Amino acid sequence: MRLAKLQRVSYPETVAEAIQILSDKKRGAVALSGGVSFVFSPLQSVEELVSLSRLPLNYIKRKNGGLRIGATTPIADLVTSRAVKNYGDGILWETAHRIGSTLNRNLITVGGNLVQPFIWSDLSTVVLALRAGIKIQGKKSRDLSAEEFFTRLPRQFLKRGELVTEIVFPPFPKNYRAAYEKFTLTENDFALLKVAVVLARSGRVCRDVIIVVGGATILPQRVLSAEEILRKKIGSQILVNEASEVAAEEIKVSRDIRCSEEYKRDLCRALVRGILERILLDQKVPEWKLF
Amino acid sequence: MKKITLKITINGRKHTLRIDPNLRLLDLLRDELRLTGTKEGCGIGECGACTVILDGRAVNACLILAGQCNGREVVTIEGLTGKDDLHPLQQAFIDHGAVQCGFCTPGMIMSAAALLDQNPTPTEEDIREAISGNLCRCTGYTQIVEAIQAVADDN
Repeated sequence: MRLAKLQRVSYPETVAEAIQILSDKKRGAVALSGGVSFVFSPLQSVEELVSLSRLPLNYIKRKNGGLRIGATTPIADLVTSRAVKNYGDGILWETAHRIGSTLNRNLITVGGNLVQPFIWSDLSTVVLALRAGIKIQGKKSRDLSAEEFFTRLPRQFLKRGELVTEIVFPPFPKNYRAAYEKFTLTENDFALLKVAVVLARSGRVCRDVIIVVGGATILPQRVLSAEEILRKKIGSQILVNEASEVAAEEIKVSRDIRCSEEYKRDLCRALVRGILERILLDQKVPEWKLF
Repeated sequence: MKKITLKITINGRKHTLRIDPNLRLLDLLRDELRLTGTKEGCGIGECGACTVILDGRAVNACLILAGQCNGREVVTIEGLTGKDDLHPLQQAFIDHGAVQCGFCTPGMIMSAAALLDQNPTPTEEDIREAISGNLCRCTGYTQIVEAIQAVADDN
C-alpha cells in the first residue's frame, strides 16, 4: 500500500507555521505542494503531509525589471501572466507553456518543479540560465543563486524544516537575448533534452553568455567551455559550430532508457547550434532544421 | 490506518468525511461516493480520463490526495448541471458525434467546461490546448473540438 504510514495531513496558513511542523523531528512530516511527484513516487516512511496550498506563496510580482514568483504558484499561472511573457525574451513563458498538459500545469507548482526534479523537469534549465535566486526559509533564512541551488539534489541539502519560498528573477537588460528549445517525441511528452541560452550582445560581439543543458542529467548543467569559446568574440558560423561541438562533448549524460548517450549528444549539438544561430547570428532557423 | 477528517464540497454539496489519509481524490469520488462518471485510465496524469474541476481548474483526480482537498470545491461530470437536463457541452458532444467509446468523454467535457468558464470565447488553438491532457484513443478529436467550438460560438 502506498503511504502506508501516513497518519495526518496538516494545513498551515503561514510559512512560520509550516516550518514549525516540518522542523519537528518526531512528526516525520514532508511538505506537499502540487503533489504530482508525490503520487508518482511516494516516500513510504512519511507520517504527516504538510499541504502548502494555503500559504501566501501563490504570486507573480514584477520588481525593478525582474520577477518574484512565489513557490506555490502553479505553472498554469506563469502561462497566463503577461509579466512572465514579457520577461527574458519570453523564455520563462515558453518553458512553462511547454510543461506537460494543461491539466498537469494546473497542479505542478514552481517550487515543486525545482525541489523535486526528475530528468525531464523543465523549469530548472531556464531558472539557471536566467541567473535566478532561490529564497529558502527555515529557522534561518538563506538566499542561494540558482548555480548554488543546482549543485546537488535539493532534497540532499535542504535541511529539516526548510522550504523554498520564492524564486527571484533578476532584471533582464535590453541588450540581452534568450532562447529555449526542448526536444520531445510528441508535443506533450517528457523532454529528452532541452537547452537554454542567455547572451548579451553589442552588435555581433557576444559580451556575455550562459549555455545550460537540461535533461542530460537530473540537474541542469552549464557548459562553461562552450561559453568561453563565444565570450567577447564576434559571432560567426564557425564559432557557433565550434561551441555546439564542445557543448555536445562536454556535457555529462546519465543513463536514460529512452535513448542512447550518443543520441543525446547529437541533440545537444543541434539544439545549441540552432539557438545560437537564431540569437547570436540572427538567422531564422525553422524548428525542423534544428535536427 | 488512522483516518483523517475531510471537509470538502463536491458538486455543490458539503461533505464531512472520515477517510484514509492516503486516499486519492479519484478513489474518494469513485469508491466512497460512487461518482463513477470520473474514470480511471492511466493513473499517472497522462490520459485525463479522471479530469475534475478543483477550485475552478481542471486537474487530474488521480494525481491528488483527497487530503489535499480539505476546504476546497470539486465539480465532477455528475455536477455539471444541477438538473436532469444535459449541459450544453454534453448536448454538443452528442450533436457532433464527439462520443465514440465514451471513456474519455467525461474528462474531455470537464476540461472544456473549465476552459469555457475562464474564457467563454476561445479560439480553436485555445480549445486544443485546454484538452491537451485528455487522450481519445478512438481519435475523434476533430468532432470534439467542433463540439466545444459550437458551445463557445453560442456564448
